[in-house]
Amino acid sequence: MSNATTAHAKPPPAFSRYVLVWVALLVLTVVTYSVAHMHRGPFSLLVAMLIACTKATLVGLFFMHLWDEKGLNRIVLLMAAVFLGLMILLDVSDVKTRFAPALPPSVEVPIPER
Amino acid sequence: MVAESALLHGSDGELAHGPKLAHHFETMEKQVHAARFGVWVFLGSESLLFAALFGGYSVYRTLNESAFALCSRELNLTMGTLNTLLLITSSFTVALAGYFIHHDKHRASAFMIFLSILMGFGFLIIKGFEWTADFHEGALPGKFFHLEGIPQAGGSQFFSLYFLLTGLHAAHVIIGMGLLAWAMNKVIRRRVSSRYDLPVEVSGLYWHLVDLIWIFLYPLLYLV
Amino acid sequence: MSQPSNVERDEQFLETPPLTEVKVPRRNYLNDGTTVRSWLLTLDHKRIAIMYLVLTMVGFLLGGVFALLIRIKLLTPGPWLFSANAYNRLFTMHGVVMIFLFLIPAIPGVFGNFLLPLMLGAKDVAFPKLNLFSVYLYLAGAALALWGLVHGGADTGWTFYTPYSTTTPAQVVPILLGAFILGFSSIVTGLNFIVTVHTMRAPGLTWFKLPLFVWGIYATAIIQVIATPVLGMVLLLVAVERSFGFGIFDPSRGGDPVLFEHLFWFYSHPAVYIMILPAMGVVSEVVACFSHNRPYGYKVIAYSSLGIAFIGFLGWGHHMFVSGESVFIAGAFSFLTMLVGVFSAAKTFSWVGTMYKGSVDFKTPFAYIVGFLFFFVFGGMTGVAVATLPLDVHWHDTYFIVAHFHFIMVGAAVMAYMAAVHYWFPLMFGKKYSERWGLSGAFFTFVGFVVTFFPQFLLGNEGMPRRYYQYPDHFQVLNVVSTVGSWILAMGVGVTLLTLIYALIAGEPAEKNSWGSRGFEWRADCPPITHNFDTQPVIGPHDGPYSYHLTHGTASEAKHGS
Repeated sequence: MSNATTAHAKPPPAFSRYVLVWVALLVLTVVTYSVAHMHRGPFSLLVAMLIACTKATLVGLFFMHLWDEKGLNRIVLLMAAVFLGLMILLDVSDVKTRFAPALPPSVEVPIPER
Repeated sequence: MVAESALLHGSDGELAHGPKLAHHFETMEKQVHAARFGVWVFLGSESLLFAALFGGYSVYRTLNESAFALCSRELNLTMGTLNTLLLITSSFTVALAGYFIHHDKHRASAFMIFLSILMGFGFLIIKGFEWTADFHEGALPGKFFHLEGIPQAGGSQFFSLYFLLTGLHAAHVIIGMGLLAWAMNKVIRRRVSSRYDLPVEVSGLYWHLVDLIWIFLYPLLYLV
Repeated sequence: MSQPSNVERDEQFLETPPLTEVKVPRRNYLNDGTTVRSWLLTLDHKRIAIMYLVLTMVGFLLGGVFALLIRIKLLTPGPWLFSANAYNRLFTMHGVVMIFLFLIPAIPGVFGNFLLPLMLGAKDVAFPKLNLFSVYLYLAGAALALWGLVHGGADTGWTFYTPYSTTTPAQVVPILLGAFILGFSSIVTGLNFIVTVHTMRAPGLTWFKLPLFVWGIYATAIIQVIATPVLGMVLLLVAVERSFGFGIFDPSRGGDPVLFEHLFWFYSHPAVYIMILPAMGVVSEVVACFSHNRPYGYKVIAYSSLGIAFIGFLGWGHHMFVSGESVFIAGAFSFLTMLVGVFSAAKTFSWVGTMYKGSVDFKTPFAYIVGFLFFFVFGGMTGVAVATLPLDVHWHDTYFIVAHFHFIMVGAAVMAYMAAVHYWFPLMFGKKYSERWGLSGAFFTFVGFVVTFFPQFLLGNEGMPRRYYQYPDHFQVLNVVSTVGSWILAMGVGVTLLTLIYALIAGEPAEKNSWGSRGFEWRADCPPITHNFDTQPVIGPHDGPYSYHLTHGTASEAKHGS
C-alpha cells in the first residue's frame, strides 16, 4: 500500500462526462415514457426494466464512480441485485405454478390502452 | 511495509482541512478507503430493505396484472415523470458537487449541493400533492381502497405497495437531504478539500442510491 | 525496530514459559479505566465483546427458563400449571429470545468482536463507534421486546405467521419492532466485520493465511448484511398491517399468507447459517489447537464457509412444503436445500482429518467440540432427511423438526459457544478455570442434551405435533424423559456457569498462551492491552496461524520444552 494520503490518485473525470450521462438519463426517461404509451404487450415490463437497468448502470458507473474504482465496490450492488432477483424468481415461480385454489382471489378485467 | 510508529499512535495524522487519523488505521488513505467501502456495503444493505416490497410487488402484479395496470393509470403520470426528471437532475448536481470539490471550488460545490437539496424538497412537495389527491379519490391501501371499476383485491394491494414503496423512499429522501445538508456545511466551513472529500462522497453515494431506487419505482408504479 | 526472524519467532513457542511468578499483566484492557462511563462509552472492541457476553448470556438464561417451564408443563398430557394461552406465549418468547437475543448475536458479538482485530493484527475493528452503537441497538431492541413480553407477549410462535399474527390481540407489535431494531444491530456488526477483514489485515496476512474463524465470521457477516434487511421489512409489514389494516397478507383483500412465509424465510433460513457458521469457525480453531495439527483441508473449510453462505440463500422454501406453495417449487427447494450438506460434510471430514495423526489434548474445549461433531452429524443428517419433500410431509410441524433444529442449535451451536468460552477464557480474562469442573459441566450438558432431545425424534416420528399444549396420553413417557433431560441439561449449564464465575473471581492467573496455540490472537498478552499490540505485527512468508508442524513431539513437550 502506498503512503499517499490523497483520496484519489487519478485525475478526476471531466465535466463533460457528467453532462453526457445526465442527458442520456433524461433521454432514456423520455424513451421509457413513450414506450409505455405504445402498444402494451407481454414485453412491456421487460423493456421497461431493461431501460431502468441501463439508467441505473449509468448512475452507478459514472455518478457513483464505479467506472474509475477498483473491483471490490462494484460487486456490492450487483450481489444485492442477484439476491433480489433470486427472491423474485422463486416467489413468482411459486405463484405461477401453484395449485389454483391455494392462490388469493383475483379478478382479471380488460386493460385499456394509455 | 511496517507503518511509522508516529502514525500508529495517531498524533501526526491531522490534515489541514480534514479530521484526525483514527488510532487504529495506519494511514489516512486506509481510513478513507475503509470508510468508502463501508458506505458501499451499507448501500447494498439498504437496497435490500426495499427487496421485500419488490418481492411483494412481483407476486401481486403476477396475480393481478389488469388491476395493477388500471391502478397505474389512476396515478398522476405527469407528476411522476416530473419527479423522475427532478431526481435525475439532483443526482447530476450532486455528482457535480463532487467534481467541484476535486477542483477545490468550494462555493460552486456548496451551491450544487444546495440545488440538490432544493430538488429534494421539490420531489417531496410533488409527492405530497400526489398523496393528497389519492386520499381524496379513494386510491388508498387496504381496507380504505374504494376506486370505481377496479377489482378490490388487486387495487387494494397495488395501493398498499404504492404507499409503502413511495413512503419508504420518501423517508430515504429526507435522510439523504439531511446528509447533504451536513456535507454542505462541511464544504462551506472548508473542512473538505480535493485531498479529503469523504463527507461529500458519502452523502453523494447515499443520494445516488435514492435516485437509483426511484429509477425502478417509476416504471413499476407509473408505467404498468 | 528489528523484527525477530521467522525461526526465532517460532521458537518463542518452544521456550518454557515461566511456571512460577505468573501474574496478570498490570495494565490490560480490563483495568484500563474502571469507571462505569469508561465501559459504557468504550470504543475498545474487547470491552464491547464483554458487554455482548453479559447481554447474550442473560438472553440465553432467560430463553432457557422459558424452555424449562415449557418442558415442565409437558410432563402431563392435559391442562396443568398454566393456561394454553400462556403456553403459546412461552414457546413464542423462547424462540424469539433464544434466536434474536442469543444465537444470532452471541458468537459474532462476543468472539467476533474480541478476536477479529487480534487475529488480523489490528488495533480495533474498522468502525469502533459503530461497534458501540450496535451494542446500544441490541439493548434497545431487547428492551422493546421484553417490554412486550412483560405486557403479555406474543403467542404467534417466533415465526409470526399470518393471518394469526395480524389478527391476534396479543402484544405482537413491540416484539416485532424490537426484532426490527435487533436486526439493525446485526447488520451493523456484519458491515463492520466485512470492512475490517477486507481493509485491516496486518502486512503479509493474505486471505489464505487467515484463521478459519475469520473466514467463518466473514461468511456470516455477508449473510447478516444481505438477509437481515428483508426480515426487518417483513416484520414491519406485519406491524403495519396490524396497525393500519393494509391487508398485505389478508386473503380477503387479495393478500397471500404464503407470501409472508416466502419473505420471512428468505431471511430466517440464512439466519440459521448465521448461527452455525461462527460456531464452525470456533470448531476449526479448537480442533487445530487441541490436535496440535494444521487443519486437514484449510481451503476446503474456507471455501465451504462461503459456499454455505451462498447456498443457504437458495433453500428457504423447505419451511413451506405443506403451507400451500407450488409442488414444483417445493421440489426445487428440496433439491437446493440438500446442496448445503455437501459443504457441511466437507468441513466435518476436514475437522476429523485434522485430529488424525495429531497430538490430541483432551481438555474442556476439545470435549465440547467432540460433542459438537457428534451432534452436528446427527442434526445435519436429519436435516437432509427433512429436506426430502415426501418425508417432510410426515414430519413437518412435529417434534421431529423440533429435535432436528435443536440438535443443530443446541447440540452444535451452543456446544461450540461453550467451547469458545472455555478456549478463549484465559485470553479474555487472564484466569484459568478448573478443568475437572469444566469437564463435569460438559459431561452433564451432553447427557442432558441427549436425554432431552433424542426422545423428541421418536415423538415426532410417531406424530406428536409441535407447539401443542395438550397431547395424547401415549406420548407421555417420552415427554417425561425429555423433561428430565432438560433438568440434567440445566444442571450442566449451571455447573459450567458456576465454574467460570468462580474462575473469574478466584481463579489462578493464566500464563500467556497456556494452551500452546499457534493462533495469532495468542501472541497478545493474556489479557491483552487496550491497543492489542505495542508494535504492528507482521506476518512473514512462512508464518501462519496453524504452524504446528514446526514443533516436534507431543503437546506437553511443545508446551514445556522437551
